[in-house]
Order: sequence, then structure tokens, then C-alpha cells
Amino acid sequence: MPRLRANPTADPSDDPRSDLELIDAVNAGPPGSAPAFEALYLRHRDYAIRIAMRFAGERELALDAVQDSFVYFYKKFPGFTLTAKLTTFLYPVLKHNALAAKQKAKRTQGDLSDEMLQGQPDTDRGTDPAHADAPGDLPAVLAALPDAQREVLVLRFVDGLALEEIADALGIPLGTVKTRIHHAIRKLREDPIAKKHFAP
Amino acid sequence: MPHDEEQFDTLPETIVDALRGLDGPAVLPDAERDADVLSGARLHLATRPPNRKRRNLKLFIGGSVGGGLAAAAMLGVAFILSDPNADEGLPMADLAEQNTLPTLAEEAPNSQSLTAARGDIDGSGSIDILDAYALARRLEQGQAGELDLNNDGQTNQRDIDWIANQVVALNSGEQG
Repeated sequence: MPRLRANPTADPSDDPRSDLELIDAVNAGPPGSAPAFEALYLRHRDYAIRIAMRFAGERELALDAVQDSFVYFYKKFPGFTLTAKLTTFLYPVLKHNALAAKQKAKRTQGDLSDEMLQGQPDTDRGTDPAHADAPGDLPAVLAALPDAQREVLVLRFVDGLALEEIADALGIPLGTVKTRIHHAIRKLREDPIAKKHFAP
Repeated sequence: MPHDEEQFDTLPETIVDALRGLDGPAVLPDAERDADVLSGARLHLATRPPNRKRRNLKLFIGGSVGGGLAAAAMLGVAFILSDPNADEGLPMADLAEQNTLPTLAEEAPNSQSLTAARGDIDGSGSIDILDAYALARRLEQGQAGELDLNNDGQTNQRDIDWIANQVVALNSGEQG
């Protein structure tokens, strides 16, 4: 699929400027603001799609969430100040929009589940047909973890966020992040399937 | 609750792979949505005034051109207090209408910055007291180049004063 380019001879996603420098350029206004935002968008779009997919579960819903999130982002300008990594800023926005898109889709389909009413959309992963096909395997064990615990594991070990960044992204204390990881790993170590993967 | 710090940094690779697998296959971006987002951003950013970092201005006071800055600051305060639309700056159209500040287009038809007004140091599209600060900062950093605004053959504090005077003159003209 072709990538959008304002200038086909340049690749904004390869812009050597840091996120912070690009944000300063967007804040500075025309003529540099639009190219700087485009560079930010192209740099973080794929990450955004991955995070949105994680919560929305469907491509179209995830793309909706990504679009809404970047609209929210550019409307912060001028005047946006980055206090952490941009991915840390984007994460809760993407999560919120992805969950909202998923709930809206379910509502449209008339499929009001208990999960949706409680605002905990990922609790059905353990009973999701994709996971139920392989009961007892490692993905099913991970899917059965409480959402909050699985989320910090993914952020730490898949996305590679530092503990402090996870705390920022989720808006929770650092100690809570550590506790959730601790409990998640303890459950995995106690699980008859998952514990085989840990060194004795 | 005490934690073994190592548990926060290491997890068996097979478990990490399984966690990664929960995300499902990678989703390709959509060019149409890219276009929607970027065109929306362009429109939004083109119609918003640039962010003016007034909070950083105090950092400049006390520098090698402190006297000029202090004078510019006083003029700036007067300007801001008297102008309810100070945040908006002075539109280029207004400047041209008053014909007090010739644009580069008028003075140097071959210039590459034909849309910039003389004295618009920060490129905001208007001339206000922030341009005086911007020039002061450039002077401090030795990056003023050839911004000889008062045509005395030098770029120095008098050029800062020139901007400040222009701003006050414009402001007085508006009030009158």
C-alpha cells in the first residue's frame, strides 16, 4: 500500500529531528508545522495501529481509533508541551479511542455483553474463539490473566517501556505497576503450563 | 510489598513471544486515512497562530543586551496592556495598510522571503514585541546576521529599539 507523501522526494518519517524538536516545529506554526506533524504521524502511526489493534481487536475499528487519536493530537497545537515520551502520551488516547470504537461497534450490532457494560473490553480474551481453540496453551494462560496485569506485562516486555513510562501511560503510581507485574509473574510461575518456561 | 527487581527486566523469551502473539497479525496502514489525518492537520495548523512562548522571555533579561531588553520589555507591557488582541499579533494586512513597515517584497523583489515583513524576526507573520526579544536572543548568540533594520550599517541594540519603536508606533496609531 503506498504511503502518503506530501513531497515524493522526501520521507518525513526519516526526519532526523527528535520528537521534541518536531513538536517545537509544529508549535512554531507555518510553514514548518505541517511537515513536522506529518513526520510525527508517519513515525508513530504503525505503533499507534498496533496499540489500537490490541484493544479494538478489528482492523477497521483500530484504524478509526488511530485517526481519532491523531486528530485529538493535532488539535492540541499550538501550545502542546511534551512532558514524557510521545508514545506515552499517545498510549492512553489510543486505548480510550479503541475501546470506545469497540463498544460503539458492539452497540451497533446489538451485542451488549457484560464486558461492555463494565467497561472492561478485554476480559473476553480467555473465551475468545481464537484462544478457546487451544485451551491450556501459553497464549490462553496469558489471555486469562487479569487485563490490568497482562497490560503491564505487554507494555514492559513487548513494547519495552520503562516502569516509569508505564506508570505515566496508565496514570498509575510506579508501585502499582511493580505490583501488577509481580502478581502477573507469580501467577505465571504457579501455572502448570507457564511455569515450564521459567528457569528452575 | 518487596519486589525482586530482576523480575521487572527479564521474562522468558517464549512468554514474551506469546504475549506478542496476543496482538495478532500486523495491520497495514490505510492511505486514505493517512490523507484524512494529514489534510485535517494541515488545515488546523494553517489556521492557528503559532505558539508564543512568553514564559521563556524572562530568561533573556540580564544578558549582554539587558538594557535594550528592559526597554523593550517596558514597551511590550504597555503594548500588551493596551491591546486586547495582543495574543493575535498584528496581521500582515494591517501592517501593509498602514504602510509603516515596508515588506521585503517591496524592498527586495528578488528576496526569497517575499512574505516576511521587515522586522518579523520570528516569522510569525506579524511584528510585535516578541520580535524584539527574538532579535535580542540572536544578538546574544551571535546569530543576528544582517538584520540591519534601521539601516545604520550594523546589527545591534539599535535594531531592537527600532522594532520596539515600530510596535509602539503601530499601537498608538491603532488607538488614535
